[in-house]
Amino acid sequence: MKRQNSNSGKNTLKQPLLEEDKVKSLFNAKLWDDDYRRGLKEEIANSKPYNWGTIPELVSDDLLRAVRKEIETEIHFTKKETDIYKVNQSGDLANLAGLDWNDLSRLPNLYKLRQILYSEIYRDFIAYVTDSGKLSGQKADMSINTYTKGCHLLTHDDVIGSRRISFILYLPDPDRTWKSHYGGGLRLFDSIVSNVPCSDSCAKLVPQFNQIAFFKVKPGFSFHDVEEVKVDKHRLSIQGWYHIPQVGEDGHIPGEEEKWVQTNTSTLAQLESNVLQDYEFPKFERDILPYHQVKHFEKVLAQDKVEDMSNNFTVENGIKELTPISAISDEKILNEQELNYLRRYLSEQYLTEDGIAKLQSDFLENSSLQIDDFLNEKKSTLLQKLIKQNELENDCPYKAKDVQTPWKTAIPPHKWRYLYIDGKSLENFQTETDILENLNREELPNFELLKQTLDKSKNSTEIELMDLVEFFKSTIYKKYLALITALCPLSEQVLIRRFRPGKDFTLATKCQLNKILENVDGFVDAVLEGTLCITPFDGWESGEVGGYELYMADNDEEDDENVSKKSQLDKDVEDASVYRTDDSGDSVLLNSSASWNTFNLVLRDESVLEFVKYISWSAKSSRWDIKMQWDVKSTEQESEN
Amino acid sequence: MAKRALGLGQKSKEKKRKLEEKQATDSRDATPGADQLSVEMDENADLDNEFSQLKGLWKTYFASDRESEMVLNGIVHECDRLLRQSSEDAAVKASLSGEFHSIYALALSELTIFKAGEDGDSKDEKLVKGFFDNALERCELGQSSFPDSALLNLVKAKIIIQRIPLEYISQLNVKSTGKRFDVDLDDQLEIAKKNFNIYDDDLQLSSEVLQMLDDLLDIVENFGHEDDIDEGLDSDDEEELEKIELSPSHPLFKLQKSVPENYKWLREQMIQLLQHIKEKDSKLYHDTARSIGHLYLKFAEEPSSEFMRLQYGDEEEDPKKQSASKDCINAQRNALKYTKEALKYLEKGKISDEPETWVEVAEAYISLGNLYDYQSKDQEHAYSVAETILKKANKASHGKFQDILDNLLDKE
Repeated sequence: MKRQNSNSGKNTLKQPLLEEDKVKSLFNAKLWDDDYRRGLKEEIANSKPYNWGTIPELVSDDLLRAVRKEIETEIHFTKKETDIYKVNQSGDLANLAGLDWNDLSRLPNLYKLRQILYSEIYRDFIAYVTDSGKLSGQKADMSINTYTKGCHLLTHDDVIGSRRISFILYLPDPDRTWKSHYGGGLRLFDSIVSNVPCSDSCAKLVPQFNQIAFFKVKPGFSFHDVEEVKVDKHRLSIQGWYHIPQVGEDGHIPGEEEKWVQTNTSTLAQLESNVLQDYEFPKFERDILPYHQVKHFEKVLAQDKVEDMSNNFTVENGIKELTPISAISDEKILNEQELNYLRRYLSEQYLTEDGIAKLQSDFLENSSLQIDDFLNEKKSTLLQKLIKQNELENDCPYKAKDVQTPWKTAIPPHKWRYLYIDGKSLENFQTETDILENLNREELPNFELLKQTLDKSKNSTEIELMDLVEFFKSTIYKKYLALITALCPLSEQVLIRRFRPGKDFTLATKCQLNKILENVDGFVDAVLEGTLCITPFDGWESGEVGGYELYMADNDEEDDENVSKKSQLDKDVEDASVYRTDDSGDSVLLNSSASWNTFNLVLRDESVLEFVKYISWSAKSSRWDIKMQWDVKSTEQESEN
Repeated sequence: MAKRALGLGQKSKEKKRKLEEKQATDSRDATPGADQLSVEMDENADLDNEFSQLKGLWKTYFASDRESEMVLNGIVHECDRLLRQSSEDAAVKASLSGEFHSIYALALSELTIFKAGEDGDSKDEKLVKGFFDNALERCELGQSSFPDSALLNLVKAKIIIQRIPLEYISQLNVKSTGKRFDVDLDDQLEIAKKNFNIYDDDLQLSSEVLQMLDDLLDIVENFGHEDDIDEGLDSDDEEELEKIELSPSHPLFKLQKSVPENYKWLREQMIQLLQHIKEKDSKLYHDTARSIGHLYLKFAEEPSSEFMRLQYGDEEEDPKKQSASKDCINAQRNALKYTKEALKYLEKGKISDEPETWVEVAEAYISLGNLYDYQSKDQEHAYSVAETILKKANKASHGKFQDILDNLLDKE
């Protein structure tokens, strides 16, 4: 996915200066009161979870109303949606000074507002109360966003380039109070350790007209998000940053900005650089299958034609040998016993000779399969009833601390958040010690054992789902998988996941191959990934409420040549950007909305990004799915030999 | 052994490359089947019969999310072709039933949705007018051949009701005056009402016409408030829109005056429709019942606010307290009557796995509670029923109705 250079719209301000008295008069007078300033400074120094502050009625009411009017009439917004946000964006405000006079005359109040927000006296005020050090007046960096119903911005830390302070000036309807249940709040996250924010926010600001919120950009700690707007209202805001002083400015220190940028790689870069993988849960690590299983898959795939194996005899070097009885036969077709096992869960149409042949050829043609009605009607009906019942009748925990076995919360929330069952004992990470203890005594998944610990009357849905997982982990199912993909599974991971409305998502990530298996003969540098979507309610098709799973090509690779022409600083800024350009149509490889009983199977190479879009608060239910991954090898070589 | 599949990313690059190569070598080659459409036919339909195919196509469009102008154009062209063919072919002529003319007219009127521009462009206006004129003409031609066709009558009602907002009201603002159109909108609506009927062979169509009328009445009632509604006033229950009074010379004046009367007519038709729906667990049944419930709640609005004002209003002691109290009782009685009726239908409209439909019932119970005497047993009971439903719905929807619940508990 292409990350845009966030510096693109930042211009040096060249504007006639307003007189200081004039600037002061346009702010709330209390800003210039020493007691107020001291009080605010102290408040910010002691604020939790990191240094932040807010000032209601920041500027002249008349000025801000006039600004709002100008924005409403003169600025065009475009709705943009990526894995991390959905928002209506305007262009960058930094180049206002470069507009021609016609355009300028259309936005005089906005122009004035920007001037006072970047005036020396106000910058000094912000630097004083936040203890940030000097702030640049040249590098103005603002944009206007309006969050309408369904809009949101997921957790991030704002660490990009030379940003020192982030601020948001709110402009919802000036004549009405913005209420907490409208959503759109600014939520702040405490951190377990640096770069690992807690799953749930610990502070929320309900924004009012003419209120500003601001915080020090603190790498690894200043995590925040914008709560989804839940009603049909416009939460208009001006978002901006104060940067490290530039060359020629008061407070400029040569090399300071470069050092800052280099030291503080952003959230995204951190996630991608694998530094924090120990602190990610669940880990996308697949457990290596026992060799006695793998060798059967190898034999199945290695055959050129079906041999008569009815007597469990095989001919090797002219000598008849007895093949040991196994859970699966080594034949390249499914025998009756295997079919009967598969029939317990799967639809008949995918088990017939024709059905399998069709899946084989489709997979070879497309490297992916989208299979409707994958589970048979009996299983499907039972599961649908249970999941619906679970959705309608049971309380679903919304805070990580309330999540109970067998469920866990996926962390950290700047990468993903959802509930999952991985077949291991309860973990509920609140502190660093919790995580370290877990890392010291890691378990292998055992769904059967976990199932036995559950209360049947309370966890009937979970037990049924875990049965299904055991089916997907069975040797016979993996033989079926080997047959339709012509790939031999070497390792596996199966997770039951639940994405709650108004809460859960995954950001786009690439898959990682299993390093231990890299040198295995025929190892395929791609992961076979299956998603059985079992979301029982409708309303997902348009994608409006999110919940879709999207696979996309990473265009960065193709742009390598262009990147090399840019300066190192530009590249750093670009890599560090949390924001992404929206998906251009041709990079999308697969897009499947949440649905009932659909199985997606994808052979995913390392360059392919995948995410599950944030589920809107207005979705009818959670998205439920079972996610499976296998490392695979190809037996092509062997069969050719 | 077949070669193994490539990774998805590599595969897509390969496909793109192949496609580009193919386009480069054979740019004139059209891609047949790219926009294929599967059409569901009646079980007993004769697959070779052209009219059956046309009917299948229309049904597919009607049941879809209706986003394909291309399909509509296809239907219109096919109708046109059959019509021309009928002048030479007696068999075709015999197959052109009232239903054929209905489909033709409906397709033409549906096309207006794609033709109407957003900014009231005069070119678009002409285009829309042209399509509506053609649709009506087609309908009336059909009626001349099939004077007893209930379907054609219903189609005529639909075209007129669709036409009023799309062609006429879209040209108006609050200050419009004088005779703007060659027809009187109120008269037009009366013609539509006369033609409307509950058509058992297509109850969905009858329902759609009534829903369109509901929307039309809402547009007329709230005329001038479009921008406020855009800002999302509906999500804030404490805010009420002041009705904008239109001047007597405004083209919508008469229609606005007749809104209450028309709501009443709509309600009666909806009740009729509900009686005709045999599948009591169908979406149509539930939706219709809920619409009737909403209409009854609408009728309860005026007496309810009258009652609230007289009972709890904080004005000075009224010198005419005696008569005020009588008015108060009257208002209470009327409001209770309508609200109870509303509840009856909202209950029928409840869907077991759609908590929103339960909440509508709960909210009506809250309204009912508000109408009973303060702290009376009836009131307590209504609130407690509402609370139980809301708690259940809240659980089922991950806290979606917490603010309504908080509001109710606060009230108690």
